[in-house]
Amino acid sequence: MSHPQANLLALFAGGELPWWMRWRLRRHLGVCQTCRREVEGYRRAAAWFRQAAAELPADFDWERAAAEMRANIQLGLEAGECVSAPGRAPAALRWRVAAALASIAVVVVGGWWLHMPHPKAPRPEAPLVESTSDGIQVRESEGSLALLNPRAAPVMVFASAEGAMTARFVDEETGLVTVNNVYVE
Amino acid sequence: MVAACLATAAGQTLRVDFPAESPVTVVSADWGASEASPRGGALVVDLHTTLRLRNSGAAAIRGVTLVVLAQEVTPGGKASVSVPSLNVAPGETFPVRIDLRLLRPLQATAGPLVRVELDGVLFDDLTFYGPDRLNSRRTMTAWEIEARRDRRYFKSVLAARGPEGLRQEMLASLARQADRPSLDVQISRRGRATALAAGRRLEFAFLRWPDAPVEPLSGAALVAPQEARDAVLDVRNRSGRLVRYFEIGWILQDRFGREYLAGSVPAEILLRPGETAQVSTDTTLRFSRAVPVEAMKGFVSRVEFDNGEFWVPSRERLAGDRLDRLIGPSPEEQRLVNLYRKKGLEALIDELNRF
Repeated sequence: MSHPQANLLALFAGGELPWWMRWRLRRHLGVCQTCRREVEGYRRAAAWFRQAAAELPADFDWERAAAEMRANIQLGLEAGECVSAPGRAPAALRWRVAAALASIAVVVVGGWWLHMPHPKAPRPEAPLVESTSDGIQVRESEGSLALLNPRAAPVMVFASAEGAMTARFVDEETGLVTVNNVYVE
Repeated sequence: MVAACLATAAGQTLRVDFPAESPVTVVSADWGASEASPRGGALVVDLHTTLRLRNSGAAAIRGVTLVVLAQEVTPGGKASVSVPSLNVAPGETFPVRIDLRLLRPLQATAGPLVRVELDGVLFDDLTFYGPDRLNSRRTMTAWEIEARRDRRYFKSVLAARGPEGLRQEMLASLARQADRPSLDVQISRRGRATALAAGRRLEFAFLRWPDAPVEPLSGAALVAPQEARDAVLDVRNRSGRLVRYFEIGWILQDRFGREYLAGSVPAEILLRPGETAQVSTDTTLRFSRAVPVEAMKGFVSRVEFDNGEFWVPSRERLAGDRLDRLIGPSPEEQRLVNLYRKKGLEALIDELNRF
């Protein structure tokens, strides 16, 4: 089986393909688990980055952050010149410079770490329902119950704000419409 | 209770329980490729079965819903499998396919891992049998009303424009289904320990249909790039009848003008003629990707009166507001289009003439 190029899968994951290409790819994904996993991976990565961006403080000052970074780099370069000049500074001074650099590094890395948006993985303490590439499922801390989509047939998924998810498709073998539902109480 | 206890390949059990007086009975169960495999510290159980059921009652069956329970694994959730748009005469059999996957801790549990029970059966005279714990009577009745609406429409197309007109309708439906924008969603109840993004309050714009028994007056929800929550809607019953349930469809529009059906807001509430009420949701809809929501639309998608009768939007309303491409076809339209796709126009016309 030939697989679509990775860039097409990435565009598909982001919903950026024109409809006819989307349709063709969806047909392929219906029968190719490898590509389905690839698309799921792109979606997860994109979701993570978007969530990370969305969780930056509203008043985050990019100009100031850039200026601070430039200043830190400049300071590091100048300090580097001090310590790299052979035989000009006594040992005690070199240790002081090294300690200062280490402190700066701690401050810079610490500040970056504190400002870095950390992905908050959902802790499924209470049940939730969701749609995945395999089907729809109700998930809790101890396990999950999924109703699987057929491999070949197109599936329509609907959400209800009362806490239910529906996947509807036509069974290719029987020709009957099947409606799978998962509910969270 | 009539029970069929069936062993899976992993030695776990699935139990099918139908009441003794049930108008549908289990004839057989095919287990296909059911299997269990360890994954890390958990066990993945794939169950694939096709239950063959018989209509043991006296009336034709239009729909059936089975409840799927895995209480040991997901005590706070459950699942169901429905088969609408049936036309099963007394004595005939029909298949219900269940493909499920359980992820559970490795520790063994006693008793059946999964139980399948009957939630309800809908007959062609819209009478119902079953415990109806999942409100499947309401759901299946609405599907049947939509099915009658759609068969009536396709028959009128056939009468007015002939087979070629019907073919055009089928092709248009296929194109709408292929082009339907989708949005993967995760739903959780309020109070769940997840980080809620700071949202902004956005007002609904409502599609106002004079023939809808319930009129949405105003509404708003909190939206963030990846979620929508806390929808609050004010509605009025402008019909002369007692309303006991309605649903509002919820559409999101992004800054590029693309629209998505985010979900529906159902409300089980008694509304007397002329009465107004406010309904709210306690769930969060979390999207799989960021959607820069610029606007929201709402429309009345379903109303149930106190006597069990339903109002659903006409096909003309849905097409006029271009909602048909967002909400997708009814189960019956989906079945008829598939029949056309697999067996051709003659088979479709024969099927329409059966009703």
